[in-house]
Amino acid sequence: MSLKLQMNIDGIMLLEQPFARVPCENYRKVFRTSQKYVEKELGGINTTCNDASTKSLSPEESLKAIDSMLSRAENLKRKLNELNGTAGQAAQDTLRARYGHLAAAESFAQSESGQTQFSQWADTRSDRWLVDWMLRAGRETSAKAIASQKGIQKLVDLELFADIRRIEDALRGNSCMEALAWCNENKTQLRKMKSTLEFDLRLQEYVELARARKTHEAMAYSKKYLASWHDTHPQQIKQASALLAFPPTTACGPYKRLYDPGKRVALIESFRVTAYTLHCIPTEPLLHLALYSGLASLKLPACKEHSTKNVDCPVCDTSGGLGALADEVPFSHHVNSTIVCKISGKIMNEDNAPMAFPNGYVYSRLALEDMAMKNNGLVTCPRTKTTCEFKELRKLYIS
Amino acid sequence: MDTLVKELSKLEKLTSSEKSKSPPINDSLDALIASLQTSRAALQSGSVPTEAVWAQIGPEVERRKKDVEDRQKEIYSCLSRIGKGLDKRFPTAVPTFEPLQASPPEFSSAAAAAASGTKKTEGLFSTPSSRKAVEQTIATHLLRTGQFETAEIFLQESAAEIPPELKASFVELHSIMHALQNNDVGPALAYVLLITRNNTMLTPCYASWCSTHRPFLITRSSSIEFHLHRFHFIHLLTSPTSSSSPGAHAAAAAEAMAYLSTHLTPFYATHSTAFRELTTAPIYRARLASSPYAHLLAPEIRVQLQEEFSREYCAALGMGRESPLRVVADIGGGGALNRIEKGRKVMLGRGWSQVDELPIEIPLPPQNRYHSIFACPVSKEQTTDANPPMMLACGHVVAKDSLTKLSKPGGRVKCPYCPVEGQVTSALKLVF
Repeated sequence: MSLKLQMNIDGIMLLEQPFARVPCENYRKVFRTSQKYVEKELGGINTTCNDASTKSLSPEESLKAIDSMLSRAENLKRKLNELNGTAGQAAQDTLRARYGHLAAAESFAQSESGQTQFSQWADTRSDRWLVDWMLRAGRETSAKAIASQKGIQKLVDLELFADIRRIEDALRGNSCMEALAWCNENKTQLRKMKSTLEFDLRLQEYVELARARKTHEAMAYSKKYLASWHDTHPQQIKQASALLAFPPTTACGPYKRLYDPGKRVALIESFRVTAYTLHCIPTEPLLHLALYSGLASLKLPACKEHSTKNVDCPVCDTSGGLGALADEVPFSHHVNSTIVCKISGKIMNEDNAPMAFPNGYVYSRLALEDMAMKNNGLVTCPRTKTTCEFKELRKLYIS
Repeated sequence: MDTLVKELSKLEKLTSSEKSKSPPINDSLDALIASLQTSRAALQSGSVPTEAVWAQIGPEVERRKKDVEDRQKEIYSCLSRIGKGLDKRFPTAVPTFEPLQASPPEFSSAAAAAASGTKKTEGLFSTPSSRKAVEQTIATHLLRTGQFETAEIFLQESAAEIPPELKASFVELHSIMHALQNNDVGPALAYVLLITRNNTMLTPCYASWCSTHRPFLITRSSSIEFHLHRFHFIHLLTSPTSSSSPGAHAAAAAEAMAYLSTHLTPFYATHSTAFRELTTAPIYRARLASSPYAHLLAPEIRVQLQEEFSREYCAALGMGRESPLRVVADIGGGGALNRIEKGRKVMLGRGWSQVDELPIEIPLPPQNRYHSIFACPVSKEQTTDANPPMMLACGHVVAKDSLTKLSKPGGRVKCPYCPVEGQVTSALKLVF
């Protein structure tokens, strides 16, 4: 039993990785900024100090040097306090809220009596997944509504997705500026990821200049921004240079492709994937992953047959919701028999043995006994309306 | 997770003004500023030679700088411990769609490919039709869980369409539940009466559904009506507080008994034990809580009643007892994905070929077993319409194909599980 629960919590945690990592990355970013401030200001103070001690300054010069050191130190103090008070505090609060949330799940899943509490926890989890899905799908107002109604703002990444969306929208509106600024902000990490997003963005800006036939500007742009990528993208840069010889209406294959407006869509997609990867968020909405595996665990051929449908079964749905999604997932796999009573919905076993009517329809003994008690020992099959005495039923053995 | 929470507390301490191995950054900076100011004052007054001032500042700057850097180092190592803790707690990355899909690409489900028409499925549920199905599911879930405002916003923002009748039904369900919360069984009973006694339903759209499913409702052998009346009876019986006048007590008792005889007597036939209990309970009216009937006062009764009502209500609308989105997401998020991932890794090595079926069995809790599955104990295959389960004379069940294989000349067959022998023709085809 405990092993099974242990497995379970691992399964639950599998989907929580981004949830735990995103605020941690955020905090790391804050820390890096603080480190930058410290290095700059304290380094400055140190240099001034060293210079002064070696150069035997006049009292006036010394006073000036001390004043500059003082202002640096005060500046550093102010900047650090500002950073920790806003971004730092927010990231820490988020971390605390999320780790607390996950720790709560662990304790509920491991305790015997935690069932109700766990179910409430899972309520919040599905709200989180809905918000995640809505933010990715651009349903921002709905996402915000859920987050504020349920008070789970710290458990969802509203700002992060809003930021990504803002840059995407700018790209859609033909502006690469925002995306390039983003690349600059995350330069080191992008380099680690070996991302070529920045080159693609630069190339796109260049193509736009070429499209507008601003040849001189395009050449200047290429010299300034594209040349530095020569080691990794020589072919593309050559092609880009030649592009200027072709008008946007060209029919020549490679250049026509460069001018293709569809490239912008691909660029947006590529930005989105890069940004998601950088922020440790999966490219698939978590809701999709959960629905996929949940539906696949449930899906049976019986779900599609009218006579064996069950209103409680999500896969049996015919309203165009989950039932339609279930078409895309594989069937579940079973090596053991499970016989579910059509009357009571209970699983039949030794304590509640399956009983067959003379016509072969099977129900659980407890449900049939209950029926016989109310009807003077008579039982009626709800599906075929065959009536017989309880003692005519035959017990069967499922191994 | 506990180690992570602990490290987080450490981090919070390190960035606050609490002491650790190194002093807080703010203190170090304050000290630096203060000493610089002292030196400045000394320099200005001219009492100390310049060299002496610098000789003092130099080590001071060094010391404070080291303090700040040490604190930063402590924070850094705390952060990296959190990072390591995360790596340990989350050893596997969240799976993406490609690995979930079986290795041969044919699997990109025919339905999905047909729906998108042009290109292969790019991501999970990314075709316009499945996207709409997700939105539909979400909208229904929001309504179902009573988040009407959010649902309105979502319906405006998305392409989901919910029939107004369905929306009205959910609003009604929630108002009934709210009334039950306030001990008012009126709306719930009115609804139950309407659905079981009358031919007209509350919303015309479902009237036809109900009339065709009436037998189904009856076969559910639901006790909801009895339970509602019982709940109200107990409520009447216990409503006057101890401070009320004796007259009020007597009146309440009389009212409760009248209610019992008019509304609960019809259930004597079907719920005789429970009914008898109710008739004797008034004897203990003054101290019901310490009587043998204390269980009638249990707070769970109301919760159970609410659950039962919402189950019946949704069944009447042709919907399951729980929000399907929750059910599926809980199964998927409760370990199924993990198992599918593990199973896939194992099976890929063995050349898993059956791509339209999961490689492993996902254990489901009993409340999520919605359909009977019979796997033949001989052939291990799941039975189908063409290969139905057959019961032998002894009560053991095998698939029809296995039965044919086991049969001997003369149509005799010996049960593979017990010594009983019978005729193939006498085996009974079962329907679960």
